[in-house]
Parts: sequence; structure tokens; C-alpha cells
Amino acid sequence: MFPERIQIKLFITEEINLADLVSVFHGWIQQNELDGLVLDVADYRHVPNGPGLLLMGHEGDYALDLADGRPGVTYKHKRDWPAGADTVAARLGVALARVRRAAELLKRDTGINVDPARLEIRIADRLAVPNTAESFEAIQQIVLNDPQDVFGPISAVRNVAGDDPRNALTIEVEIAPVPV
Amino acid sequence: MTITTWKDQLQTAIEPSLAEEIDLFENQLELKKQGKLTDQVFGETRLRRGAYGQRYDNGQRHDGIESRTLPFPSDGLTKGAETVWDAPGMQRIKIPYGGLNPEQLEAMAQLAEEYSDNILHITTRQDIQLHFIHLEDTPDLMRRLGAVGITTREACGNSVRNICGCPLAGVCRTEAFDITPYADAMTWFLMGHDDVQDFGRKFKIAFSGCADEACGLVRFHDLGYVAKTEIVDGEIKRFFDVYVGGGLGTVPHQAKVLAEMVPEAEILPQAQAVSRVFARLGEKKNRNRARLKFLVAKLGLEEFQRLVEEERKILPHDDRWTSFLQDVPEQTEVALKPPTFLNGAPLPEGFNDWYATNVYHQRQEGYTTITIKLPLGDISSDQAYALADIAREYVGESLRATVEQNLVLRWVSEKDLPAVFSALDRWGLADPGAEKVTDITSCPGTDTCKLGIASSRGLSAELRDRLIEKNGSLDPAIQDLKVKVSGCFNSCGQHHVADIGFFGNSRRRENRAVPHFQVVLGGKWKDNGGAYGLAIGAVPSRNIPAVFDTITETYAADRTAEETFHDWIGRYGKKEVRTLIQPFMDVPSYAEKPEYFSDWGDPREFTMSDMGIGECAGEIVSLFEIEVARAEGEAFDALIDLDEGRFVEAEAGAYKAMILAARALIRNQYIDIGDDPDRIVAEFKSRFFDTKLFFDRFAKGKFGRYLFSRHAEAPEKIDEEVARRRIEEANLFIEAAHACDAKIAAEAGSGGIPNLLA
Ligand code: HEM
Ligand code: SF4
Repeated sequence: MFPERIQIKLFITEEINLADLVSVFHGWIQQNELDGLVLDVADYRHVPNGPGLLLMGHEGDYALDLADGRPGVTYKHKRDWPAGADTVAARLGVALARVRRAAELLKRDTGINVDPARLEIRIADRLAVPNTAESFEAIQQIVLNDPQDVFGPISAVRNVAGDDPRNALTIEVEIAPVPV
Repeated sequence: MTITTWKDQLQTAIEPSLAEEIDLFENQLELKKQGKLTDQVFGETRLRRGAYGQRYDNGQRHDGIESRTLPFPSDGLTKGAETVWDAPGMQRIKIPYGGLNPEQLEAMAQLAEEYSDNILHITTRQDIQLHFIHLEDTPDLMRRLGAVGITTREACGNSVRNICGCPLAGVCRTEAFDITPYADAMTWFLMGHDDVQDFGRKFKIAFSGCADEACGLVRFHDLGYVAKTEIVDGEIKRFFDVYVGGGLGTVPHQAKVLAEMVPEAEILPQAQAVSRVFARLGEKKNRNRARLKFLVAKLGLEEFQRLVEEERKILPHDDRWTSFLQDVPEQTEVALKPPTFLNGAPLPEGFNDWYATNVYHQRQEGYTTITIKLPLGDISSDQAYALADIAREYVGESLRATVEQNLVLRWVSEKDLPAVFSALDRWGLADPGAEKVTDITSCPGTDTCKLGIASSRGLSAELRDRLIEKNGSLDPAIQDLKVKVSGCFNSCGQHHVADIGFFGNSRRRENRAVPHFQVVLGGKWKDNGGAYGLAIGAVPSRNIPAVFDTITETYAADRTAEETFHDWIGRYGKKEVRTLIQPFMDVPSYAEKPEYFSDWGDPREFTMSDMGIGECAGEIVSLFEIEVARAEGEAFDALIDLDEGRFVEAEAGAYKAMILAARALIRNQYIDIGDDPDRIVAEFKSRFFDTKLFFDRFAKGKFGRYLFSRHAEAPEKIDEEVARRRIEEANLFIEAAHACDAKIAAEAGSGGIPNLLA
């Protein structure tokens, strides 16, 4: 149960126009703004509810993704994890830090906000983590334990991939608002 | 939980010989890492398994400000010449005749999700491609494909590529018979066959059920089959007309008839004989003359036919030549549902438009084949899962990829059409207008292809959006046009057979590169790609939508009833069309309109440097641009001569255009060159050819040799084909002169001496 590929998505609830983001993404490459080696922009704006606009990288890919009709900023780590990322919890922490960095940049450059109350974890590694109740249970425990306290106060964890074995395990995490 | 690998997990699911091949490939990866294989050997091994290079895999990318080295962790390790190990690549997956089932579609969707970018890309030869793949993921990817009966073997490299076939085979109203079992038998017979391992270049085969439609595109394949029947002794017998030596690429060739009415039992041995002749006599050193079309042209058709017949006689017998015939059933697929007609049931919104363009009534009453129109050939993993479910529910097995980069569902009972429409629509898969003007074909271009010059996908997306916006108001004649775009002269987007085709190139203005497209008009899609269009002029990318509107609106207004675009171009005349596009050919200054200096969908300032050609810098006073305009004018006049049947003049004009383009380059360095062709050719050779300055990074000296061989010897007999080819050559020579000029300017700017090895 040790996945190589982990994706985290932060949802966007406001209207967005991906056309405006093409130059923003190129700018992030030019200014070397993101963690990891980012290579190029892949543009799938024409695909309905598709992967949207991607920043393809070596270790991982960033995207403004439109999957399920729910736009969001995603980061998918896929290889060459940083030193020390040798537990699932640590890997979730790496992915979350990177997607949060992308969300900050998005806010800075476009004013677009992400929804602080939820995130989605998708593990597209069917060998290590098939979409089974057992896998869900194991990942849920890791998230709830949150040893490094990366998620904040979790109010719910749900399996949103259904029980279709061809899907990647997908978990939605709800985060309680932090009282001020 | 036990740690496992895909290799362990799928051990029993993969056919043993395939599993062994993949294990071997994985070992070769390991050997390469240990430095025990050369780049050359490993590169070809990788290509033969469909693992292709991708743009920026030399580790350089221009980010819009400067060309930067991408700091891959590879540490000097390469997977081919100038190809960094860790750089992502493209995996081509062979889908014979485009046929696939839901399980295979799902498997590829999972692979796209795990190893790629969530997209399956359908190609113009019915393959499926995944992009941004890491080489070390490919063995597992191949195993997971193997487990659902797919191999990537010989998907690239100098081998027999995917065999194309009509997506309507077996259900078509105009076919002689279903070509599927023949294309299938040919695929498995030739795959890995000893006689196809020593080709100098790739080899492409296609099957078509009839001669008049376009589905198989037989006439631009190395080897093509058109189904025929004849009654012999009161029984219907099956035959094929066999074509050889066709091909698109830089200079397109129409295939010639190798033999008519070849009995079904003869096609495999005959293909084997052709393969042997090609392997033995085909060019091996010069890649640019290595396709079968050059061998057929060199030997002459009759000699080639004779050699094939001789070879056929001495082939040792092989049972597989005919054993597949025992299993050729009348109908290869069985419908899941009974054929029931649409019976006045309420129709969902949008259904009628979709029904008018995306539904084909099969030969079998009550059944339809529906086309799922995919923008730029792309379908997401989520859409692919949904489509697999829809296929299972309504048709069972039967999906096919098409050469127009779509997917079709066959055997849909008419009664189910509204339900299928709604199910597809839910996933954004019920876009109307299949195979119409909004269904633009495009090669990958600068998005991922290393050879791309301009953004074919960017332009296609732009044209598509604009056309969809006004689709309701478009003249029906415009709605029927075929539009195809390639990112460079290699014509992977098949622009030669479009009504309106474009291929990417570049021009200079104020010492900056400006993306352009050549406008190619009058190709013919029907008759299996029956005629090739010709280039009219290069237009800045930004002006292509306006050029498109001007040409199509003039066509709609001027055409006579029933006149096709191909016929109209013939009547209206290329000279007049050139006049139409002339006002769009100029590039405004950078200060005035900087957007002309970037490409569609890519805000970075345009550059050719990602292709390996130097970027323009410092000032250089150039006579070239003025002089080369004369060459372009001459080439265009030759086109008019060709159009009007003056073949000798057309051929001579094209030759003169090459001389003038060579002269334009020379004049920059040697103003007093004069007009003597011998002298021009000699100076051109020593200054630009022998120094390799004129060389294209990939085509090498090919374009220069067009001039030398024509200069050395004028053809004895000049017919339309010779003249047409010379004009194509002249256009490419002029393109190469532009590229050469840009390269020299860049090198002058960088202050260095010319790079003689570029
Ligand atoms: C990695 C990027 C690619 C490279 C380097 C490449 C290279 C080439 C070259 C050099 C030619 C001309 C060869 C000749 O006819 O002698 C060619 C032709 C062609 N390629 Fe590609 N290609 C690439 C991608 C593609 C893709 C993605 C497709 C779609 C399947 C494709 C389909 C074709 C087709 C249909 C032709 C026309 C040639 C014919 O059939 O005779 N290519 N390609
Ligand atoms: S036409 Fe040119 S740019 Fe397009 S895929 Fe072929 S080689 Fe690449």
C-alpha cells in the first residue's frame, strides 16, 4: 500500500476562464515559481470536463483541471519523491504543500480563490492501491491520523470513487472551518 | 500486503511470446542504463516498441524569454542521440484498422490516468497515442496493454506500421465486402516477420472496401488494397486491386496499381514478396529517399512488378497465407440488440442536428453507426470509461478509431439512438458535425512533435471555435469542406488531401521569426485520397482565420450548383485565389502588432530554436528577402502553368524558381554571381550545401539535391506528374532557403562562426 502517484485537488467554486490562464502558466515556468521541474503547458481546454490546462513536470504535474465538472487546482506527484517522503503520510504532505503553493500563485496572479473547506485525494496507482474498501480504509486512517497535521481539522472523509474497480481510489476530505 | 509488480500480477494474462518481448525490452532499458547499448541501437529498439521522442527531449526549451536547459536528473544518460533519458516521450499504441473493444478502451484510459495526462489521442492512422510518458514506465504500460490483447510492437521505427482500414468495414453500403479479416490477417502475418525487419524506412499499409470513398486512403500508402468481387463459375469470388508506392510526406506520391484482381488467397504472399524486394533494394543510407515510393519511381513500375512476381515464385510455402480464410465469416460482428426502428418516440434536445451529421445507416436495416466527434482527436479518461459503458450497453464490442481522429460505435439499433445520444451528451461526446468543416484534423505539431514548426493544434482549435460559433449561419457548401492541418511539411495531418489544408512554416520580419502556414488547396478526400492539393502561398498564422473566411465565402458565392470545392478551385484558378489571399500575406511590424510574432494558443514569442535551428538575433543586412520573392513568384507561375495544362513550362518554371532561390542566398555573400545556372549551382553547392548550412536538421541535404538532380539532367518526358512533383520540390527548396537564411542570421548575431554540423 505504498503509492507512487498521488494527486490532490483544491476546488474552485467561482467562474474561471482557462483562456486567461495560458499566459499565467507560461509565466510560472519562466519565473520558476513552482516546486519541481516543470516542463511545458499542455492545453486541453477543448475537452469537456477534461484535464483542462496542465503544467507537465518531471516529478509531478500541476493543472487547472475540469474533471467531474468541478474545476480545481491539482498537483499529481508521479516520481522521484523528495528525500524523506517515505511514508504515505509524508507523501500526502508533499503533494498538499505543492498544490497549496500553486493555489497561492493563482490567487496572487488572478485573484481566483480555492475552497478551503474540502480537498480531494486521488491515487492513480492501481497496482499499489486498487480501488477497494481495504485501500480506502487504510488511506482514511492515514488521513485521519494526519501525523504531521497538514490537513487541519478534518470533519469528514468520504470515498467518492464508488466501488468500480476500474476507477482510481478517490477520497474527499472535508475540513472544518478554523475558528478565529 | 505483499509487494507485487505488474509483471507478476499479469503473468498469466499476457500471451507468452508478447510477455517475453516486453521482458526483453525491459532488460534493454537496464543495459542502456549500464552503458552496454549504443544510442543508435537502443533508439531503434525503443521506436520499434512505439516509444517515440517528444518535443524538448534534447533537454532544451525556449520559455519565451530564452532557451533554457531543462535540468533533468538523468545525469548524462540518453535514450537515443540527443535524447535525454528522463525527458517525457510519446507512446504510440497500434490499433489495427482502428478496431477496439470496451475493455481495451478502459485499459488505455487507466494508462492515460496513471502515466500520461488523462488524454487518449486518436491519430490520423487510427492509432492511439499517450503523451508525456516516462521511458521507465513503458514496460509496465506495455504489459497492461498486452493483458487486453494490444501490442505496441512495430508502432514506430523502420517497420510495418499500423494497418489502416475503413471504420465502416462490414456495415458499409458501398463496400464490395468486409476487409476486416484481411487487414487483421495481414497485421499478424507481417508483425515481426523475418522479411520486414530490414527496411530502410517505415512501411504503411491500408485496406479499403471500395475505390470511391476515402475511408482507407489507399492511394497514399506504401501498399494498399481495394476490395473487388467477380462472379466466377456462378460463385461470387473475392479479389483486391493492389496499389504500391503512394505516400504523403514532403513530396506526395499517388500509389500505382501493382496488380488488379489479386485473389484473396494471394495477398499475403504477394505482400511478403513486396517486403523482400523493398528490404533488398530499398535505399538504406539516405532516409529521405528510403520510402517504397522512391524505389518504385527509381525502378519503374514494370520492373518493380517483375521483381515482385519473381520473388513470389521462389517464396517457401507458408500455411498462414491461406489458413485465415477458413475463418472469414460473412459478417465479423454480431449485434447486441435487435434491429428496431425509431418509432416516433420523443427526441432529446439537440438530437436532430446530431442525427443529421453523426449517424450512418448501415447496410443492415435497422442498424446505424454513429460517429463520436472528438475535438483534435482527444478523449479524456473519464469520457473513455463512459463510452466503454455505453458501448457495452448498446452494441457490445464494436468500436473503431477513424483516420479523421474520431471514434465510431457500430451496430446501434435505430430505436436506441435517442438514448445513446443522451448518454453521450452527458459526457460531452455528442458534438454534431462529424466529418464536416468543424471536425478539423490536426497532427500534434509544436505541442509535442519535435519536427513541428507552427502550432497545428492551436490553429485547428481557433478555427474550430470560430466555425462552431457561426455554424448555424454557414453556407451548406462550406459546412461540407474538409480542413486538415499539419505543423510542418511532413504532412502527418494529411493536408494534401483536404479541400483546405495548411502546413506550418516560418518567415522572418525584423530579424524575428513569424509563424506562418502554407495554404494548400484543391486536394481530394474521396477516391481514397484521389488528388493532392498544391501550395498557394504562406500566410502569417494570425491571418489564417481571415484567409479561411475569404476563400470559403468566395467559394460559396461563386460556385455553381453541386460544384465541389475541388472542382471550383480548378475552375476559379489558383492565380485568382492567390489574389484573394495576397492582402493577408504581409506581416505588420512588431511595434504595431506583436501578436503576429506568437502562435495560436501559445503566448511565448515564436521561435524555431526548439526545433534545433538557431534563434535570430543581431542585425544583418539581407538582400535575401527581396531576391527570394522572385523565386516565389516563379514557383507560383509554374503552378498556374500546371493548372492550365502547360506541363513543360511548369516544370521549367519550377526549376528556375530553385535557381533563383539559390541565387538569393548567394547574392547576400557574392553580389556579382550573375545569372548563369551552372555557376549558381556550383556556388550554391560550395557555399551552402557542402558546408551543410542548407541542411534541414532532419531532412539533411534532401532539398538541395532536388536542385542538383534537376540541374544535372532535364527529364526526357514531362507529364503532369513530373511537373507537379517539380513544383513541390521547388516549394520545399524555397522553404529550405528561408530556413538557411534564418540560420545564417542567427549565427551572425551570436558572433560565432557558422556551425558546420547543424
Ligand atoms: C513525433 C512526432 C512525429 C514525427 C517525428 C513524424 C515524422 C514524420 C515524417 C518525417 C513523415 C514524412 C515521412 C515520409 O513520408 O517519408 C511523416 C509522415 C506521416 N506521419 Fe508522422 N511524425 C510524427 C508524428 C506523427 C503522428 C502523431 C501521426 C499520426 C498518427 C503521424 C502520421 C503520419 C502520416 C499519416 C504521415 C503521412 C505519410 C504517409 O502516410 O505516407 N505522424 N511523419
Ligand atoms: S506534420 Fe510535422 S509537426 Fe505534424 S506531427 Fe508530422 S512531423 Fe510533426
